[in-house]
Amino acid sequence: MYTTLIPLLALAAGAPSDPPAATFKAPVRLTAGEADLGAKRLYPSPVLHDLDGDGHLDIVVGDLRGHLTVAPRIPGDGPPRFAKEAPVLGADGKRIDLGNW
Amino acid sequence: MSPQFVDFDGDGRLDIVAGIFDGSPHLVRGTAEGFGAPEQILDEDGARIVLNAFWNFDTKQWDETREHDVPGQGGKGHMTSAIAFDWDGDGDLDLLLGDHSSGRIFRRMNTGTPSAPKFSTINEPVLAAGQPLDVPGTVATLRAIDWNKDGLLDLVCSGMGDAYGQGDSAGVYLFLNVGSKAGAAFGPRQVLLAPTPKGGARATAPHSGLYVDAGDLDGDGDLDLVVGGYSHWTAPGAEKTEAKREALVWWYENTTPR
Repeated sequence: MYTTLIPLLALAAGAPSDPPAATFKAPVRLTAGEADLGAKRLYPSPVLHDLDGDGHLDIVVGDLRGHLTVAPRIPGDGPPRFAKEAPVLGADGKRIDLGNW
Repeated sequence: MSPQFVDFDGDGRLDIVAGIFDGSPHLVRGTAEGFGAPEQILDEDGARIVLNAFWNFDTKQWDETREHDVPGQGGKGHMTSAIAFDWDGDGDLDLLLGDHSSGRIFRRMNTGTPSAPKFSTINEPVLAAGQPLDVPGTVATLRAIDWNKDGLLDLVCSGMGDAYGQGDSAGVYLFLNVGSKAGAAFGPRQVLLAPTPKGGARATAPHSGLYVDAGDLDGDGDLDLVVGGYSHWTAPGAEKTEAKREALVWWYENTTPR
């Protein structure tokens, strides 16, 4: 029976024998406008999707509460930049709310 | 909750599929007017799709079922992530369900059509290299991405790890689809991002609650990663009991030689 929000204890961190599939630079925290993307969200879950149809990948961020925001991509070279986040709205003009439980 | 933009019902418009913490996959249909109201994705009997643990809206408490297990292959699964995925190449979308209580992934086959799906009532374990697929640190999310550009969708999965304490960090893993368009089959687990040790004096990487997606963000032709998650760090001079947990989203630029 579940009585707490996240009743997790970490499990094994991965077998040492797992081969690497790619290499990456050190991570860079992303911002949306002046704010850190994902800050103060519960379990921010980004997905890359061209929501505004301008040909550039925006970042849609979901979270544990079931809310969705979008940070539009600012076109340009160099590290990716994103404009200020806004709620993803439904046809009724209200914020999409997938709820929780 | 990790959203997937996909034409779930075959009407030519993108919908949103998402598993949420209540234990079931949900759908937000795209319409000519915009996104509609969220609804549960149901099985062929009209019942909720769950693994084992789920929030019972009637009794208003957590509940469990074994009704949908393959005999001898169930567990205490709690689905919090889901994607639509055409497993058998028949043109309709099946479901892959990520288990937040273990590292396993299960599938529900669709024997209907895109516009009238009939999802099976049994959670069939997804295998990798012949064994139940296992994401270390339990499944936070899964993504269908053609990582090696062979025309088949692979699985990129990220782990939860210990999001509250000083336990293990989580990583990001790749399972290449070594099957065919007529039937997915996944190879052994490979590492995309190894777990990063917690600690340090500021947030330098995500450690737990990793939610990944991939895309070419810098236009160089390869797939970078974006990862949401918690960084665990401790301010200089502070006790470990005062460790910070900071939610952020990070970009990992792909530097794999080509």
